[in-house]
Amino acid sequence: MLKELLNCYKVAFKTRFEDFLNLSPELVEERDSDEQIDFEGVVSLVGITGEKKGRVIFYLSEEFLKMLYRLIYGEEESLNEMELYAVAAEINNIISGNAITLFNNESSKRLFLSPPSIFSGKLSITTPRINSKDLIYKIGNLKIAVSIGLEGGI
Amino acid sequence: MRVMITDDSPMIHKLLKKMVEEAGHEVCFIAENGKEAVENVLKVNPDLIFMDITMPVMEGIEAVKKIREMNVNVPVVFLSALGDDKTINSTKSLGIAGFLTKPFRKEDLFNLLKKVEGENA
Amino acid sequence: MYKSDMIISAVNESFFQFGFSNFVVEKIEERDITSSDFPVNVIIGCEGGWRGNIIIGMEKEFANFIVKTMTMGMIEDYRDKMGLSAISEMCNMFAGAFANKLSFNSKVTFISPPTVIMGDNIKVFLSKVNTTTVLYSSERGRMEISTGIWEIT
Repeated sequence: MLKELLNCYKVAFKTRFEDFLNLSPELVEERDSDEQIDFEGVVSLVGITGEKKGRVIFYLSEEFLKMLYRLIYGEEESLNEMELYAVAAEINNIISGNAITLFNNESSKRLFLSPPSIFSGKLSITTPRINSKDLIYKIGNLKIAVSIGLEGGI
Repeated sequence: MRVMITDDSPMIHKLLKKMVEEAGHEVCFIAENGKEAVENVLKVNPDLIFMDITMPVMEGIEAVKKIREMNVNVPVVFLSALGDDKTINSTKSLGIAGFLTKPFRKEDLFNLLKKVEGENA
Repeated sequence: MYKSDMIISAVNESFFQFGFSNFVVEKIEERDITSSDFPVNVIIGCEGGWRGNIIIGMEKEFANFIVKTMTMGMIEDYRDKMGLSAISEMCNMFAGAFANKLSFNSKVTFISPPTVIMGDNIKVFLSKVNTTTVLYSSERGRMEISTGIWEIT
C-alpha cells in the first residue's frame, strides 16, 4: 500500500506544483527514510488514519517557503513567521489532500488526513513503528523532502 | 460582487482576496470558520460565498446548511483540498454554484466568478 | 465533559496504570500554542468525530523517567531507539484513551501514529482553534498535554 500511496504523492506533487505555481519539481531521489532525521527548518506534519495509519512530513527550508510565498502572492512585501507557517501548512494540506484523493479514488481503501501541524527550529524527528520512504524533489536550485510512512508499510 | 471568504487558512484568505480583487470584485468579509460565516452572513449580505469544507469549530457543509435554514440563498462555491467524488457529491444537495479543488487556477476562479455574476444579474 | 476533564481522565487510565502516580495537575488553560517549552514533544493527529492534533510535551527528566519505568530499568535515556519507542507507546496509549472519551455519543475518533519531535525552543503552529492544555508537574519534571481539536457536527 505504501508503494501505491507514494505513486499518488508523486502525481500530486507534479500536478499541484505545475497547476498552481507553474513549477516543475524534479524527483532526484527516492529512498528508505532514516529512523531519525535531524533537520533545521520547518516541518509540516499530517497524520493518516483509516484502513492504514501513518503520517506524512514535509521538510521545508525557510528559503523554500519564502520562494513559495513570493510565487503565490507575487510580491516582495515583508512577511512574518506566521505567514510562512501558514504556507507550510497549506502546501502539505493541498498536496496530501490531492494524493489521498487519488489514492482513495483508485483503490478500494479509504484513508483520511488529520489537519497539519507545523514545527520549526533545530529538530530531531522520529516516528517509531512506521515504514517510510523519502521523496526528495528539486525545484530550481532548492530542495524539498517529503517522508511518507505507514504502519506495516509495504 | 461582494464576496465572503470562509477558510481557516491565512494563506487562502490572502490568495483568494488578491484574485477576487484582481477580477474586479470586493471582499466584504473573511470568516475563519463556518460559525463566523453563519453569524455574519445576514449582516454582511454577500453576493457570493467561498466556503472551505474542512474547518475547525464548524465545517463548511454544516455552515451552508445553517445558512440555507435562514432562507439565505446566496451562491456558494466550496473549496477543498479533497476533490474525491464522495466529497463533491455531498455538496450537491445544497444548491451550490461550484466546487474548486485546491489549489485552484486563477482562470478557473475567474470563470466561476463570471458565471455567478451572470446568473446573479 | 470538558476537554480538560477528558485529558485528566485519559492520563489516569494510561500513565497511572504504569505506576506514574506522583504527578499533579499544576495548571489548566485555553490558549494559542505558538511554541513548546519542552524539548521532547509527541504529536498525534485526530480524525473522525473530532479533528485536530494532540501534543504531549515533556521535560528530559520526565521523558527519561517514562522510559526507565516502561523498560523496567533496561533503558534510561529517552534518546535511545527503544527509549523513543517507549515514549511513543506511552503517548499512544494516552491518545487512545482520550479518543475513546471523545468517541462517546457515537462520534468515533481515530488517531494517527505518534511522531516524536525533539529540540530546544521549538516553534509550533496548529489549526486556528482554542487549545486546551493541562500541565502536570512532579519531582521528575513536567509534562504538558495540549489538545487543539474540534468536534465535527
